[in-house]
Amino acid sequence: MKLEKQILDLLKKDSRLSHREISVRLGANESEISSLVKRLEEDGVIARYSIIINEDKYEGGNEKVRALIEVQVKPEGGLGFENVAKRVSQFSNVVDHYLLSGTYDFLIVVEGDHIQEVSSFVSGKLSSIDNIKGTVTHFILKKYKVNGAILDPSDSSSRLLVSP
Amino acid sequence: MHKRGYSRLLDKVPPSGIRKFFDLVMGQKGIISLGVGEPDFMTPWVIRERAIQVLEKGMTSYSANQGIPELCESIRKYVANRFNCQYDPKTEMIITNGVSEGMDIVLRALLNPGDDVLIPEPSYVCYSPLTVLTGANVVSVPTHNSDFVLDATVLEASITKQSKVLILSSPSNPTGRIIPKEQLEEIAKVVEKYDLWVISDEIYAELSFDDDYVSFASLPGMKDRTLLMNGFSKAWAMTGWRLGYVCGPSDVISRALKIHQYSALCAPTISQFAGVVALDETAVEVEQMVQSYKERRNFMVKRFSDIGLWLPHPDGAFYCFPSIKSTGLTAEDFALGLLQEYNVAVVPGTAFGQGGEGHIRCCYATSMKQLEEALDKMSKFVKKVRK
Repeated sequence: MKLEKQILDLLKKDSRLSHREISVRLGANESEISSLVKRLEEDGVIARYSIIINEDKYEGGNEKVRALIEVQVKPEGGLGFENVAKRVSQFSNVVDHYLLSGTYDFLIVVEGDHIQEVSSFVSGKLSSIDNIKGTVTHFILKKYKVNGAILDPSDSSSRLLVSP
Repeated sequence: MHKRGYSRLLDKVPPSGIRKFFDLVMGQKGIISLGVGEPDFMTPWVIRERAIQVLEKGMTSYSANQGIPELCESIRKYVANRFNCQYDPKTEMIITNGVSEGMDIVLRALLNPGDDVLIPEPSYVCYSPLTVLTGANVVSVPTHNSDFVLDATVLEASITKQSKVLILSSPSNPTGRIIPKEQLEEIAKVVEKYDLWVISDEIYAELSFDDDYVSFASLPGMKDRTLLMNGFSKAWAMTGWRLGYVCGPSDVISRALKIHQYSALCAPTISQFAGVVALDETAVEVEQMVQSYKERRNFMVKRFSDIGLWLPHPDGAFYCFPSIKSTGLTAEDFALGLLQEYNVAVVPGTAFGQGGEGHIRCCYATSMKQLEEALDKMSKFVKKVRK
């Protein structure tokens, strides 16, 4: 496996790992790791370092509401979906935005402080964009797994403390 | 004590050094254990899901003694592609209750009282007792003068007229060492010259971090002399499923099968069906686990070098076998002191034979956080006893 891929795999699991720790685990030079990470950052391969919050366990915060919204778009001649996509992505309520194959075109993830905020975003802002033909909104009720992390792993195994 | 007594052969088997340490560790709370001998991963989900399906369908009967044909075929393909060894799934293979059962039935199929079995030391804990139970004798072959890789000249010097079987284990539990191809070829010459059988325990073969793994059975002329042992416990994290296999010449396999059919009947059927998925569908999961062990291996090597404990290079498996001779303590005193003063469990090398004196086995199949803490504590302990 290429060193870059190995670095990214490690950082995906724990973005707080220091370059030194990465270098020890991969048996590589620390300065080599630093320059590779720097390049990955500069090239935009590493777009951001982030965390995954298990909101069910975060009592102190005001829980945000998220919805997945299917969006049907009429493609424009010569531009396809790009023009509409640019406009949709600009909204700060839009957290993720994908173009899909299948029965609808965009899937967007929208976040708001409460259901009304999301609803008014959809009816007021999203639906009024030219060439958006229709939307279907699905509110997220519970998260089980986010970016490969199971949020509440109930499985456990207890190994013997000493075994052959 | 019954007046008619018990098995005299069994009385020759000494109590397990692992067991002794296990009892000590169980008496203490808040232990960080580097004393385990199994993965810290759960069995990949697709394998577990297949087992659930099999249970739901009620596929819970005995299987043929040899194993289910689907798994035999998957093993044939896997061994051929991965290790370049061709076996007939009908006549040259038995699916066993882990490598341990495979070892037992093969030793019993090969040995007579008075035969000698060559066992490189330190060795995995079952080889010697299972040999003794056949009435054969154990001849330990030291490896500590060749960085714990069996040296062909040392092997040759240990050969007697009664020598019949050589047990190889690479990657090794407890040392993590892999015998390189050139050394295997030298060993093969000795095997040929003295007409030996070889039992090659390759259970850790997938966990080989630096070079492509070479199976002893794949060397020219060795297939007819070798019983290849492998299984699912380590690379697929399936220790509790009890699933392994033996491949080898049909004359030995048919004899071992005779024992297997009476003493085990078959390997667990549910595990066998799940094993097909393991071999056919989990290459990605295995690769991820191997990469994770490799990263932890690199971490351990660095930390032991910082602490100033020499260790034979851990090429594979998930063990380090550092020397603690520089502390002036015996392996047992070191392990005991570390446990009592710092709550860190390691296994004294002597649990794997006298050839393990002066070393401890540290398993790194545990979380990085625990490894960091354990090695910080070990570093303190070493500084303290060196003063």
